[in-house]
Amino acid sequence: MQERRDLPPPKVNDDLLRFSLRTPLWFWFAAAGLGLVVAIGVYNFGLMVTYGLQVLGLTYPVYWAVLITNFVFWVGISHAGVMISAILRLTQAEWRRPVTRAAEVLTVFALATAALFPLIHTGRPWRAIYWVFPYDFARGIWPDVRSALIWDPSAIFTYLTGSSMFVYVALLPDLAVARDRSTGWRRRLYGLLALGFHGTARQWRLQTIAGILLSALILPVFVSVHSIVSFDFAMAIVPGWHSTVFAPYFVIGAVHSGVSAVATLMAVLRRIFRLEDYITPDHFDALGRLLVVVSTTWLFFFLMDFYFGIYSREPAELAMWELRVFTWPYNLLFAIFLLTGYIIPVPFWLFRRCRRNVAVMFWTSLLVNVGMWLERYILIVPPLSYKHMFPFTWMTVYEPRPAEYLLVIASFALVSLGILLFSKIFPIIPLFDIKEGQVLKQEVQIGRVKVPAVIRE
Amino acid sequence: MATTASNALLGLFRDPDAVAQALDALRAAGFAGHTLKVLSDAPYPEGAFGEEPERHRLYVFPFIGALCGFSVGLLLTVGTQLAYPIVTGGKPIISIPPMLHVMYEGTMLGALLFTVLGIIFESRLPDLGPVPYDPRISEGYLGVLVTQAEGRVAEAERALREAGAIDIITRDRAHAKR
Amino acid sequence: MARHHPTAPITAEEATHDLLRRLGQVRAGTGGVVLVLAVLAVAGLVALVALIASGPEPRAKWGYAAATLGFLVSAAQGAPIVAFATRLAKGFWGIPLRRAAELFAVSGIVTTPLYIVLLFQLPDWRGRPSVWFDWPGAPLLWDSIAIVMFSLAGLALLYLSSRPDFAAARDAGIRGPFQRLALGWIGTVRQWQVLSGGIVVLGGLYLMFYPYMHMFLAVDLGMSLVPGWKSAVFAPYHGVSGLQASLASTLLAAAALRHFGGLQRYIGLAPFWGAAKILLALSLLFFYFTWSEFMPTWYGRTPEEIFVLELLFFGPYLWLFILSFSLNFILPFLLLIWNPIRVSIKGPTFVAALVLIGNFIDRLRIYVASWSVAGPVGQHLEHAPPTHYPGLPDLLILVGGPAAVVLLYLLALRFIPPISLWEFKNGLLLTRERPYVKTEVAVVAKPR
Repeated sequence: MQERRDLPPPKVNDDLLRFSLRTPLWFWFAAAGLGLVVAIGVYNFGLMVTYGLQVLGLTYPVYWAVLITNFVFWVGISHAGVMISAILRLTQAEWRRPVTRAAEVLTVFALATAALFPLIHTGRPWRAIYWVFPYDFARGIWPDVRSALIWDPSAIFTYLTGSSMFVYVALLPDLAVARDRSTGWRRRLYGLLALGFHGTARQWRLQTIAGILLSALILPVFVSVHSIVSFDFAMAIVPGWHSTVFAPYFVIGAVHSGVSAVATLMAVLRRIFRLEDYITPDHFDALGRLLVVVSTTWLFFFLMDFYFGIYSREPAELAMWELRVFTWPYNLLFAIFLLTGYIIPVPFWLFRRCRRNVAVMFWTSLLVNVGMWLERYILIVPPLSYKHMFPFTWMTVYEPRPAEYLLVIASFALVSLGILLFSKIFPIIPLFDIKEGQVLKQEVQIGRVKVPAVIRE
Repeated sequence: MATTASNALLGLFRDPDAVAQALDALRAAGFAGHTLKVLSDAPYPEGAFGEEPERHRLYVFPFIGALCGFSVGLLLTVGTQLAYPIVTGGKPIISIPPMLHVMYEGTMLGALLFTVLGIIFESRLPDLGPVPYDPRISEGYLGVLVTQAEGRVAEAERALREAGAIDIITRDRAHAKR
Repeated sequence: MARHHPTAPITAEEATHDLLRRLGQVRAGTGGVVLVLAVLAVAGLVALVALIASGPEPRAKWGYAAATLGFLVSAAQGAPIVAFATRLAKGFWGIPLRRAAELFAVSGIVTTPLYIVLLFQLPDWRGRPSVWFDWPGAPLLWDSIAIVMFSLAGLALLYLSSRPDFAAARDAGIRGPFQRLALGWIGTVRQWQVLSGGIVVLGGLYLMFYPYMHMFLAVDLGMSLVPGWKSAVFAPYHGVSGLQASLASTLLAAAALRHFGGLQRYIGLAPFWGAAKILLALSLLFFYFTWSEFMPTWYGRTPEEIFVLELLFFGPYLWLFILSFSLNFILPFLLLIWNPIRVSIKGPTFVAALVLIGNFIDRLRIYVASWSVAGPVGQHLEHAPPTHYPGLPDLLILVGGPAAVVLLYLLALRFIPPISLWEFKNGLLLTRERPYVKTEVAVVAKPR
């Protein structure tokens, strides 16, 4: 890290607790605006429950479309947290410090939002209780564990619980600082949540071990979650879905979109909370280099899916890929997804000047997620809508209806609102992590140059 | 002996070297190492102040949790399949490959839950009792907490001041601040 | 806690003198080893020639030669990536491993001709499911170009990263072709910049080409021969298990250099500990890719998929699958999750040996099974043929191939220092032990 600033603890506390302890006017407008969009989404859902799934554009054989695309998309975004937080913690990368909590919080809210979509999709979510909670009360039959749709709730619940607890455990020291800096009901609230954390050597030792141990435990869960989501498709003998590469392909795609989302989020947080001292161009440089590796790996797995899709030259597979790549409107979406997911952003990320430019990183990372949303759509819809064996299944092109668009927009608002409210109550950048970075900061004199260094334990 | 506010006092320091000197002085004065605690607002390298290494049994918790989670996952999957033995997709009644997903998630959930409980327990939390503490710790000051100074408060205070403590906090002052 | 430089302090001058004096010397006992390896390599070559002379049919007899090739490409030709990865991540713990890893590039001298020989033994290709889609000259021409380029790139990387050390040997007056090999290296700032940039570019290209090389090998000499086998994850699986085996080879080489080469001062605990964590991760990935392949295949239950499961997993090669799975995943996982085993030298070395054997068995499973059903395009088989056991020529090739690689490795050590001297000295510059209040800490510099 070349741009290291001296950040004494009182300044760190002032800067990073400012938003939690004082409320600027713009917060109320932002919360109200996002809340309104979420409310419209809820109203829209109410209409769906009242009038049925006919308000959506779904029809045989395209039964999974925009809502499931959104589900897979948000599960993908949720992989940001573990990628940034857990892997960088285990590799002791110094640049992780300001980024970890934002990534973990994005994970929690993205995953919670994603989990809503299968429930919304049922049209009658109260009937899905039997499917989510394995009790024998709804129809007199237990959920069938042989179904990939049953593996989903177990994976998502485990990941959501694990991520939430990860956030809380890492939050304990900062809650103690917030307690010490506040008065009245805030002090009591933070005091209760901090559980009496006082910063003894034992407590710090266990915080360090906790970070490593929880990271090591949640990493396999992170890999399994999106693999299991991919199995929703790969288990079916549908041309275009029944591929052995889906599990790693989905996971690396999730990492790609998740890390891009973190880059977007960091640019926004830096701007609105004035965190230029904490989120520096060095961080975007490191994120950009990581994204080059991740996106190229993602491209490799995409090519594997494509190549081996047409490898056997089965007529059904060839027809499905022809629909995806050459037939309107999917050909346009396919081109946009490739351009925005890889071809446009990656050349920018190859250049240090672009990686260190916050605006460039913001727009390229946003483009990536446009592309990744379309990638999920192209994965899901064409295999269902291509001309199967019997003409009675042939349909005109599936068209999403306004109800589906509104739910997608509301999901973005819900995640944004969640992150906004979280950062209102808790510091979005870990105070103790920044302070630890200052403690471990060193310099090594080599000739006339002072090279930045770090203590390694 | 449990730490109570009446037999504990906290010395506040600015400098890590002064903290190390204070610990040396207190040990020389006869205070046992395990009764001395260093408070800070950030983790320092292990052993930086010459404090006693902290032993813990955290690693036991994930194993116990994993075992519990594995058992629940196994019970749920085998139990549900046996309760309603329906052949789906030509698969056997007890289909092990699909079971493994749910069992694996159960195992990891158990490990995670118990690990978090273990972290909280081994950190000796919740610790909401009246112990000398000063909010200046959060502003970068370092604290040396003498947990069992009953009958020797003056001795402990002298050792802390000689090492360079800028303030000494006892129970009464800690309460007054709150 | 492990530190990021040798166990006993050593200066740059001491390291230079110590490592360079070993060049050109023959350590006691190595002559016998070299002789045995040479005999085995020649025997393997003779067996291969005999196999070629007997014609391509029956195709099943080529399975063991293909398995030898698969094993060598996996366990040896992926090793330069181990070196490149630690450079990219600026992991100082990996410095002692880098040269040991890069030296495995010499395996390209063995794998290239073997690959080309096997390409000539393939059955009819026209109309066969393949990654080449009946492209002219495929697979013979393009696979040949690929393996030649891949091998040359590995050797180029080895040469490039050794050039400063050749210059050091030249300057120390060590007997040998070091003047020619150094090619005028004098260590100017520009030369260092070009060297660093070149290693990054060449290493990056090697890394990017690696998965495609594995795809060509695994699919053309494996998957395409089995009727109905279509698996998109098989090529990545082959690549990842190859990386795992390459890391295992590197660890074993480092352990041998430490023990037999007297390099304890250079190869301490840190490289084994750091590599053990990556080996654990790769073992988990081995399981993950195996599971990704197995699950949709088992779930789909089409006749082709049932046939593939029988041939490769649960039929005539069941024991190979069980052994491979145990040695590549179960045992490494159960051993490496324990701190005392992971944070040691013997622990990771033992696990590396298990992984290497496991990879060897896995390649036997894949290639012997595939070649046992290699036949005309469009053939349909109800059941997998019985196990094809090795004959004498197969055993000679199985032993001779790895023996030839080890022989070349030992011969290369006569001219190339076993530790990358310039990187070792760079590591000494950038790492320090410093007192911190009442303890000592390791300080690691991170230049741009």
